[in-house]
Amino acid sequence: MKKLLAIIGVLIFLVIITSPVLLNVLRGGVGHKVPKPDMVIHKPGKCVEETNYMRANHMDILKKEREKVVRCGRRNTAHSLANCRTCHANREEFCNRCHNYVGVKPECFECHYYSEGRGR
Amino acid sequence: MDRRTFLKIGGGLVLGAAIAPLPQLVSLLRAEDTASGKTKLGMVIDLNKCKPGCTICVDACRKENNVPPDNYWLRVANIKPKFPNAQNRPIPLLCNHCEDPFCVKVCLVKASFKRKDGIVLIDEHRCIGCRYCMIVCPYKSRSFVFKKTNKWTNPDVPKRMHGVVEKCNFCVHRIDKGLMPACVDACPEKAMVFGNLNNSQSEIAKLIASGKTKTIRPDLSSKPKVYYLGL
Amino acid sequence: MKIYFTKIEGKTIRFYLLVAVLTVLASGGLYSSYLMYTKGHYLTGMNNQVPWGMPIVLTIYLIGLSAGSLVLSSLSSVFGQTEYKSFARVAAYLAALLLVGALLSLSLDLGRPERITMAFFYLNPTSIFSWNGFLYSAYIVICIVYLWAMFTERAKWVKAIGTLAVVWAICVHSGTGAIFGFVSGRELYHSPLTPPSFVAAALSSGTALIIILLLLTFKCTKRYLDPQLIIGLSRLLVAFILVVFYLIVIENLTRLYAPATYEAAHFLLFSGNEYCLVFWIGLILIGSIIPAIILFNPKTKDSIGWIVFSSVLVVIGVLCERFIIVIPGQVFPVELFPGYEVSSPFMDGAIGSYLISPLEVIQAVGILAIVGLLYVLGLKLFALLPTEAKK
Repeated sequence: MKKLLAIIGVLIFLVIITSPVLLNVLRGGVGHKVPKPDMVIHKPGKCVEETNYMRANHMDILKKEREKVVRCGRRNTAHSLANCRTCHANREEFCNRCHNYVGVKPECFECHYYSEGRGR
Repeated sequence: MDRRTFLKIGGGLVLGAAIAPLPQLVSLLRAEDTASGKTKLGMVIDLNKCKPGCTICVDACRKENNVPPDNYWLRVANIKPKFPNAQNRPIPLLCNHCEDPFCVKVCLVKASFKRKDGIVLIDEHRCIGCRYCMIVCPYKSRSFVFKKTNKWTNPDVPKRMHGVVEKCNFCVHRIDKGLMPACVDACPEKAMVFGNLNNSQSEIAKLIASGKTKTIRPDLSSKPKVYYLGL
Repeated sequence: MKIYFTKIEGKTIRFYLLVAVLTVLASGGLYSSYLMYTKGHYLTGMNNQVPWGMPIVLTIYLIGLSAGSLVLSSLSSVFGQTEYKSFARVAAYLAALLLVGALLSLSLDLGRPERITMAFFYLNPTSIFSWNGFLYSAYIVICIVYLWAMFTERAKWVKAIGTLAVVWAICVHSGTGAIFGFVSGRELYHSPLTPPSFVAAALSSGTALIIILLLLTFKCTKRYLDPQLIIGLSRLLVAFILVVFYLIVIENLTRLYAPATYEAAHFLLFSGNEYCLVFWIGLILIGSIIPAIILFNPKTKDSIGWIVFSSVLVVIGVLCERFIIVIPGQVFPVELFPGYEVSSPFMDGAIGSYLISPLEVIQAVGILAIVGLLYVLGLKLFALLPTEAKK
């Protein structure tokens, strides 16, 4: 009796643990792919850092930047959020695309206004 | 050394490490905010120029800094001597940016700190919202963001998320650009003077040197840097 | 005389029902905390004049109970009262749980509880609240090591860690008292007597709680508890009650005497508002005078029923004392302009108000339920209770 209960328990656990995969299969079939983010750069050109470096490290750059700005008052450097806006003016077309794809919600935008539409 | 001794010593070390404030002591080595500098920013408010019923500075501050409706970074109080037939007088009250601030002394995480130029700021990224600073501030300068807000009255300046403490920061985003705080600019009577107390040639230093200015509750020895003329 | 500690069976319907009720209450408390976290603290009764409310009152209350329990658990190993060895494990376990409950109450009250880790990485050496964070976390480790020493019957370790535990408990609760006592800006907070008064109240409420819980636990698990042990504890209780009363009298007389603090003390004691009621009826009458009379009166002092009744009164009385320490000091306005009447849209110069909101009550009940749940499950998982407690 106990053995049967144990087996049923393990099966239920396996179903729960693999439920995201199962749900995706149910929705889109096997081999279903989420489309890669389609980012629009408002003013294309050269970023302050190399693209791959930015992709991996922009959060750390911004974190170090905010310590510098808030604690020491050293503003208006190339790494500030305000500077990002000069080329990436529209958050919806640029920042949100990747963030939605990866499934993160940075809390920066709760306090720092970053426009989600064209212009203001 | 046999296994038992090793485990005993290892266990002892772990216990010692657990009750010793190691990560905290290491953080002390990380010298973060220095509070000495050539600049010492402060303010003088001339109460003789303050008109009763006027709230222009309060409204300017609220709009400039996205201050939520029930909170006040700058407020105008009315004081009346406890004497027969006394008159009410307006007095703007704000964070005094003390030289020996109680709030900086007690902040758990050093979110409240004194910058090199003497202004007292809250690092809103670090504030945990414990509100101890609100309890100790003798001037009641601080407000807590009780409710989530979704709008900016001034998109150029960040607002604060619910659950942190906020207060007047002398419009740090403006003074870093060389401008005056919003309240100082907005006052039609030019009742507020902002400047460097260490610069003996500045208007503010001359006003304070005249001996006619007073601070609020100097007996508490927090050494406030907002002075009043005509108090 | 050898004492045998055993786990409880914990298989009766009553036990499962108790666990179920406590779980429901705990979930309710956690849900109300979730609401406060996502929507904001405007759901509580706190405001810019009274930023600290019931959650902080509950926190310092639980820390007091915890420190008191830990000192009691060391009665046999440190103070040589070997007849109390039977309670040592339960009391130490309870001390750890109560502090966990206190930290939970404190963390859930924070505006941004997800940033609590900052408190461990940025110690502010000038902040007593910051030092308390370190003291609390080390305290739990000490409780766990103390319990380990008792479970493995290492008498020398028990004595050594017991001594450390008593000293640490006094430091912890003095530190908690210092959070309030060191605040020089508020007349009703600033006092050098707050740390010792906290320690005395901790000892008295801890003893009262232990008396009530031991009697309940032994009765529900049908184990024998020698009434002489409870009577012995009640003698300690009455001594602690008198010390608390003495310190409160001295503190308030001092405040009434000095003109600078007279207005604040008058507001608390004689102005007829709800804080006066809580002080005189809750703290003085219910918390000190009536229990002291019961525990001194030869007709009632040896009766278990009366002792339990006075313990309940003390538990209520000390909760009232914690309330009196935290709230009136914020409600009474800070004195900005001595000699002037002040008014403003930010309630300067005005008496503040604090109404306990339903969410805070649900959260408080939830946290007590979590402590109760861990206690009840602990009795089943660990050999905490002696088979019988004889003098």
